[in-house]
Amino acid sequence: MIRFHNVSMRYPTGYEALKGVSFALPRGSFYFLTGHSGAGKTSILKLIYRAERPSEGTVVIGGRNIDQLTNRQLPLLRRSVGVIFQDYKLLYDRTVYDNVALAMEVAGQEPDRIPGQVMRTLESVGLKDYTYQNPIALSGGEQQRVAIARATVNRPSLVIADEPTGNLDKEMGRRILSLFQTLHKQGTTILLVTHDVDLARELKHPHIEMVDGEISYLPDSARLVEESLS
Amino acid sequence: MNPTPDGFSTRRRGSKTSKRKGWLPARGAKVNRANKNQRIKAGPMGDDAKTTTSKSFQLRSLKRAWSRFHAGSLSHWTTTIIIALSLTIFGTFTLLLSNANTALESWSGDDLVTVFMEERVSLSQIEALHQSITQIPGATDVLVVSPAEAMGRMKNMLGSEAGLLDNLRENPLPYSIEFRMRDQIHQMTADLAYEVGTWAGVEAVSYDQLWAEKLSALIHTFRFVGLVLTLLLLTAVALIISNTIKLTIIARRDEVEVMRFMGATDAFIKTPFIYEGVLQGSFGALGALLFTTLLYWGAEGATAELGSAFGIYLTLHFLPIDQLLIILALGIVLGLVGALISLSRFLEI
Repeated sequence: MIRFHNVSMRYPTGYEALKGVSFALPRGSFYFLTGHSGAGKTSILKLIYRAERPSEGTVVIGGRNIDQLTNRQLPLLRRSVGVIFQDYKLLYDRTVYDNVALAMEVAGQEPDRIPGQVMRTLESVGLKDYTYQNPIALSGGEQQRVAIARATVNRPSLVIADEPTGNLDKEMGRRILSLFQTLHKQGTTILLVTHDVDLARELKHPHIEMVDGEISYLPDSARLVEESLS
Repeated sequence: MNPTPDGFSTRRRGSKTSKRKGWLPARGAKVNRANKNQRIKAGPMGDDAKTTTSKSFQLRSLKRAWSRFHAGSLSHWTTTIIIALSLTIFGTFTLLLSNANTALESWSGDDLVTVFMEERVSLSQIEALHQSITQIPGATDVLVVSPAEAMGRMKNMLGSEAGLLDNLRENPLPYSIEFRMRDQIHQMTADLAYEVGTWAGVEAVSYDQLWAEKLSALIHTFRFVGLVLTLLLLTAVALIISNTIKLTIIARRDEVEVMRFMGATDAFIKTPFIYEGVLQGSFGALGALLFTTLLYWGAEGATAELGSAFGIYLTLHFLPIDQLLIILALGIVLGLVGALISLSRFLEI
């Protein structure tokens, strides 16, 4: 589902965030991406939803080199990927419901389908009672769940999350991770960035470790083999 | 719903082994600017994924624009008032020019030449001048007006104020000869009037048409100057609208960024901003129509009084419907242009 082939990424400032990164994540898998700050974890996520483009190498999602997507095809890629940001990126001038519904409006869903789907998704993350509250009034864990609801309301096949437990205590972190676990059980491919290796180990999913823009540990299941390049 | 051990309830949408195929657009799949009647081929919700129709998309964009406009910041309302005032200036100018043209047209119909005699002129001289004018090729309706007839006309014109003339000891009005020129162009008549003015016994010649032409030239000059000033004014208004939209874009940059990463199309992000500009322009134009109407009501009475003071019938006509529609269209176009300028400069998707 996700293939990075010898990907390097250099920011306009000259900083090299990724150096020859290669891996392949199969459909329906659950991987953690670990590493210290500045290791290049977030850069990998940005390449997946094409907020950034590689300086070298190719990023293939769902069998397509996303660097070759036209401006008209790019929105479809982004609708297919549920992105959860470390700082949530919620809109604080509207309610929880509106934040989640926006994702469906953006995807061009029929208006009559939106309320039901939003309410089901909010229920699935345990936020039904907060539907018409402003996110600013919610705790960090609750805001994170709003962000998860927004990222998953369109039922994307791939969910990527940047430090979803980074601002939470251990207990809330476990609760959030169990939500991803549930999504994974439903067939969603998950790539989760975290620096909390202990928390990641509790879920017993494989992890890719990064150091200074390079992969320092790659499980065999994520190794890029020649046939997956074709 | 299946409650999970952590207490969150979840809804199962498939089994662990369920496989989704082709979550990316198929090769060649396009995202229509307005998501027009399009099914996302193998999109995030599989083959069942449907998108909204263009009409519904436009309606929702308009609603989003309206809610922003309605919630409105001070800059929105300031811009709307500036548009209203600018278009009011344009409307008032159009109103004045329109009335001046109407007055000119009614005046243009009177191509009477009036030859005023000197005070000492004798009746035989008047008769001789009458003969001379009658012999001018094309001269018609030649009529000698005595001082008594002239006084009678003046009394008629003054109406209820005619009593003022009763105190005059003697009639100060001279003999005059009136005539018209058949099928002549105005300049030729004007030249003729000038020539008659040089004849012996003639005090002065009045030819209204000449004044009408001079006034017409003056109105044309005003119209040109007005057009240039209006263009400058409207350009300024378009830039003000552009600036307001720019401020809105800056205030909403987080929202724009989030929508972009959620897969919003250019049209989805930009269309509400365009509608916002159009709404500002439309409301500004409606305000201008209101202000122009109020000005007209105020000026209508004052004009009638002014005419009455000079003993003439003066009336002010309101703008015809087509010119009102032009003002409304100008507002909409200004809003549209302002928004487009701003989007092209400040919103890179």
